[in-house]
Amino acid sequence: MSERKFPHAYEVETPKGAEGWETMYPQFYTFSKEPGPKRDWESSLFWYQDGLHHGEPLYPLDAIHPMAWQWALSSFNSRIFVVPPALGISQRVLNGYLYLTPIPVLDPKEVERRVGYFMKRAGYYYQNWNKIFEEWKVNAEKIVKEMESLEFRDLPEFEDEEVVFKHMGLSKSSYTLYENYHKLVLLHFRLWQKHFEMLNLGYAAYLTFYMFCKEKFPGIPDQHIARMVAGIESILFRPDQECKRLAAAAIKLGLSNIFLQRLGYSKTVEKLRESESGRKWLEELEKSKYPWFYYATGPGFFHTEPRWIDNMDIPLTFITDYIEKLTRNESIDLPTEKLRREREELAQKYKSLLKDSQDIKTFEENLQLARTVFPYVEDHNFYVEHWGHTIWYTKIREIGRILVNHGIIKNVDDIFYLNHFELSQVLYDVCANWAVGVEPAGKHYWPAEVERRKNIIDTCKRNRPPPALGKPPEVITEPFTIMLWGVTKERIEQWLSGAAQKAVNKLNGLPASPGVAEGRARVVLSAEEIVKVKEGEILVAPITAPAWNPVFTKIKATVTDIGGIMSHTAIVCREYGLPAVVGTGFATQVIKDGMRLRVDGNEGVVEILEG
Amino acid sequence: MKYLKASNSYSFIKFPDECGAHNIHLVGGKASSLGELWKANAPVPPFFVITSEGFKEFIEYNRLWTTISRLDGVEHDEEKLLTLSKEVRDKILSASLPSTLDKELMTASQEIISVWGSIAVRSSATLEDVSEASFAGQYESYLGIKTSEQFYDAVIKCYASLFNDRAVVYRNRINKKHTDVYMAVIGQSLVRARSAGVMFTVNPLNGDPSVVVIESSWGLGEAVVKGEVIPDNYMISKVTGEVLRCRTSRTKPIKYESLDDGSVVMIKNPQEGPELSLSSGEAVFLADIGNRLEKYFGRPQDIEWVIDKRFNQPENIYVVQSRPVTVDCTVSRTSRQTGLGMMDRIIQTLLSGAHV
Repeated sequence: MSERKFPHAYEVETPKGAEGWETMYPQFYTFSKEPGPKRDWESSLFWYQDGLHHGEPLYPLDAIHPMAWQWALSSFNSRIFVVPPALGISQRVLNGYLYLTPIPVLDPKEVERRVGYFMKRAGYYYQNWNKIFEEWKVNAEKIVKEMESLEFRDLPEFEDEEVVFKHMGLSKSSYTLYENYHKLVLLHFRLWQKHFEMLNLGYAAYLTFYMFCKEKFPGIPDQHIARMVAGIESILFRPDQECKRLAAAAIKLGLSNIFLQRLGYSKTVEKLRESESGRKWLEELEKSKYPWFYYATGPGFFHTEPRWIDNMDIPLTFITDYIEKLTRNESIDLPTEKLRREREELAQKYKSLLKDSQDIKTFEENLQLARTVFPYVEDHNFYVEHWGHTIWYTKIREIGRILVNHGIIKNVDDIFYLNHFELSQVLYDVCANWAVGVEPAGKHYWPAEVERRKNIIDTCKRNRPPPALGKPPEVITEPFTIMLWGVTKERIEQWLSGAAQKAVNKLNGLPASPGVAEGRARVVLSAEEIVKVKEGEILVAPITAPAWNPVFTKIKATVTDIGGIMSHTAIVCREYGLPAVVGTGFATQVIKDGMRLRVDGNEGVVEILEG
Repeated sequence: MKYLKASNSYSFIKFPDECGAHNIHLVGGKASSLGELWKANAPVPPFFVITSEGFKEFIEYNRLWTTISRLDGVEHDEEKLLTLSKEVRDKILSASLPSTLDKELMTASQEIISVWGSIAVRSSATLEDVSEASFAGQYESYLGIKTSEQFYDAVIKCYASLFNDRAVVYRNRINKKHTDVYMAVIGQSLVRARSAGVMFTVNPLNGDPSVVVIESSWGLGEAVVKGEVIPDNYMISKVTGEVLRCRTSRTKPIKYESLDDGSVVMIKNPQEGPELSLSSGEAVFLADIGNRLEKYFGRPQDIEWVIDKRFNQPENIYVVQSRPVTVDCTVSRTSRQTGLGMMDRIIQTLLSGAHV
């Protein structure tokens, strides 16, 4: 056991060319190199790299997302519901990469004291779950729409007359720009608070059913447990459903030929505008777009992931694929009914194996609660990472345009090289010096700084730090760490033996969705590459995102580097009935395009049959 | 696969669908459990039984009851008991079958030998029952029977084996009268084992009732039962019938094979090599049989099975024995959540966490 150790953060070298990476992030957010209490504390813990959401170095502004969830997730764990053995999840950055560590409550007396709070508070949420979730949806939507209503306009030469004649008593344009930026940041944080309002408890309820099944049926595969709970329509499938709807509409309107030419979005739209039926289809498209195409092609944490509405070629490709399938008379419906029947049958069969009446009752109650909480677990992402973040990026780019006008940055997307605290300073600089009547000071600082940061990020991208830092603890009690990140004994062993893994032709991971499939590999490292995937291939990716759903009707199986049984890949694959192995650690490094693979979703094994 | 059908033309012979727990006194322990397997729809190798009535007819015809009843008079004198039992055996071995029995026996054996080539003759005493598995081995089995004459001899030897030393001593110890025990005899087709092994309808390591565990190796089941090989191991979900785990063993250095004459030979380093001795299709098929047997008998079963090399799936799969699993460790674990309310169960879950 004593040998199970990863290096400490301060022992990891900065790659050549990435020196000074720390300056991109606030002081509290990076590991300390210098000896002292902060470094001692950091070195006493076990940290793992968050490859699930942040497999790439953090762009300074994109770091607001993990900062938002560190605050939100941790509040609900430690201070709101008072989860007895777990405080929050702490975050640090090393060489641009995000690391996490769950903070446990170790003193048994303290755990005991927290139990009383948890019983009362969590108990209330479980009891009123559906009602609270209905409210939740309304409120989350309100926050998103409020973000959407924020306007960002460049500063005029003179203030509008109304400032004078309505006695407004302030510099309306500059104050509004400065205020709206801060409102945007606050609403973003607000939305992330909503994200975790029910998620921690959702996971805890699921985990309770999971643990009971594992105790009574030690051999039960993880996916049987998931299948007993899942299989309901999630709104995460809605964008995909909209593509199907639009495909059917295109056929009905006799427009298939236009789509099948695959001219790209703008040319297709041009052609469609020429006819009455084409214009009718475009109206249908508009109906689907909002909010269903406010959809990220990745986990939603990077501004570089194209969103459907920013890159309409993505949904258009999916729509066209569906048109092709429909023309060939293939079904494109999700087997929802079949899944629902199967999940009932599965639950009945497991229940019938229990002899003790108390066990049967426990099984029924646990299952029922898990099923109650599950729609939230599946659906919340759409409001936050997809819809909310799409609005966030749109608004940030509006601000970016203003900063370009003032010479702070050269290109709109350069704004992502400033963190959100710095952006507050920059906007002060812009507004105040606009008032003074001179150039902002940042004009002579930021363009060069942005160039420097671009080089650092590029260097960091090419230099992955270790998958974990420090000494693994004996037990992890933080529900997210177990459920979402899949940090378990096996995972850690795998990370420790990471170097040896690269030469082998067999990868072990978590069996996430049942079945066995053989086929050619298609390695997809970023969302842009998803269009390369061909019929019958096996998708190999660091992780997958809900927006990739349509591609799941083409492929035979999925393999990912990271993720647990509740990760998006796992949920989607089960829903599409595709074998999946997640959390292999190194699949995208070992597997190359065209290799013939055998994916065993029952065992969690991926074999390279032929290089 | 050809099975023999019951027929009214026999008075001393019974067929599988006539055997079961209800007539153990007629067909003996082994045949009654084979009959139960048959009723549970498990594929047992075809067989017929010469009933205990046939045995009684034989004893009466040869006027042997008096000799046998002298055994009942012996209490503690073991030497005397063994002398008397040898006398009984010798008399049986030199006796002949009554013509009625002889005729039925010839007809039945010719029929089964013509279909199966070679058969086994096994004893099925009326004292035996499922719970006395340890006693079952005290009688004899005769393999590789190919002619009616050999069959005739084997039946008489089986009758005599009811009075072999161990059996007689055992009955004396449990105070069972020797005149109250009769011998039925089974004629059963011989399976040519390609592979064989054991199946548990519960995980014997942790009591998991949701899986079937199968161990398999080449040849007869002895290699697995005696632990002379590391068997191939399958774990199959009872719920979905999926193969949950399949471990191919590379250590199968011993194989037992039955030859045509019924003798068993041990082969070292068999040519089959390290590959799987049971296909996943066969394993799934077997697990389904196991599931059925567990349902039929109402409790987890420990099953011995054989794959016949002459046939293809599913005709090649045979169950030769099934008995209830009684070992303590196979009792399902109690959950740490037992006895707790919903909220306490959630807290319990959070407190136990995942071991890293």
